[in-house]
Amino acid sequence: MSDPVQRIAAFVDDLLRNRRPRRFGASAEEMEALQAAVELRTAQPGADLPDRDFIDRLGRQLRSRMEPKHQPIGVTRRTLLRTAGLAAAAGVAGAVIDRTIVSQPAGGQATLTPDSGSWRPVAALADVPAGQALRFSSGSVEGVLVNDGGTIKAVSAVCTHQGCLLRLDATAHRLRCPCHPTVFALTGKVVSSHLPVPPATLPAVQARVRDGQIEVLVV
Amino acid sequence: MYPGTYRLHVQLVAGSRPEVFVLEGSVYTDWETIYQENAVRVYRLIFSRVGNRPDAEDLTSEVFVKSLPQLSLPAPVPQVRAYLSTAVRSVLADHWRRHYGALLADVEVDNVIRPFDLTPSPEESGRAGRVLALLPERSRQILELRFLRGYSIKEAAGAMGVSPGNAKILQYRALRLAADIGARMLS
Repeated sequence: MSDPVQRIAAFVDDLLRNRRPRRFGASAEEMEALQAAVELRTAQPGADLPDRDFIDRLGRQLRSRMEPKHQPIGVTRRTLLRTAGLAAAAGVAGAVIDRTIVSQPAGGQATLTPDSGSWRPVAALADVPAGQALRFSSGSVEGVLVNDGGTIKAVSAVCTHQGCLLRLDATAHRLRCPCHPTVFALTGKVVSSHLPVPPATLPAVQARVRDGQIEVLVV
Repeated sequence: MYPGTYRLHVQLVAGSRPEVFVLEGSVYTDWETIYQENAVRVYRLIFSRVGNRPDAEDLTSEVFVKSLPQLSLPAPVPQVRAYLSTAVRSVLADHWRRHYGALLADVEVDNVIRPFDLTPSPEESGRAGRVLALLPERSRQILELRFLRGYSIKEAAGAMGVSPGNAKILQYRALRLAADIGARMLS
């Protein structure tokens, strides 16, 4: 392009059409004009909002990059094995839940094991497709069912901070506390918390499938 | 256990005095939450400095791809946000340097992004409108037609009764004037 007027005109055209602008070595004067054009472009209401597809796509790309080092969303076989090991180490049988939660190792998970519990159906298996989660209430226990590739797991939906009932964010695979900004993964693990001391991992609830029904061990 | 470890956080920046922050203990424990809570803010901040979607998407990706593997989790929320804002400054400065040869981009970016806050400063919002209001009539008209009403250069030229070539000259001069007025507002 021949001169600053043409270069800046082409740059503005590209901005207004949401195209990647052509590159060129800009003088100090041209740089001022470029940045003024960018500022005016951004002043259009909503122009700076990202495409939701882009945010989702980048999230997936990051997940594939980060997976080898970090635990992904959802329940993995490794998580299940580790959880089972920690629960066993904590002495699951006959454990008193309150004490278990307080004394558990960092990141460990207690399992809710009532003294005189019984298996109660809380949902049809068909209501919880693979990769999905569903809130349930048995009357005495509030929880969430998770279908991890055909394996049904359940976790308490009562915040371990002050007992508020957690909200299921099915899209993000998260449980969110409405009382204080704390977020749990569907494994029960604390994902983020604005509390000075993050609360304990949510207790697991024992679950099984019988005749197409999901049952949980509760009182 | 990590709670309590981060009550005091000392930030060391080369060439400046150490800064000590008292933290409330908010922590990020996984990268997915970091991404979910900061992706839109990072994108909007970058868009406000490049003005177009393809570059904003590329640079947003660059920020997260470079930053997330470097973070040691759990990490205090303010520390993560400060890290991200530093990464944003870095990729923006590199963008303007690499593609337009801008040497002062660091200064421009540093002026408008505050540490620990990934949003444009409040004084920025509405600044474009104030700048336009201070421009001479013809300059304001060409920029309003182009940026606010989306006219092509040919349509803007027709509306102003000038040739497309003259409309481009008017546009260039108006942008230079707008830059001057904007710089005076910042100083």
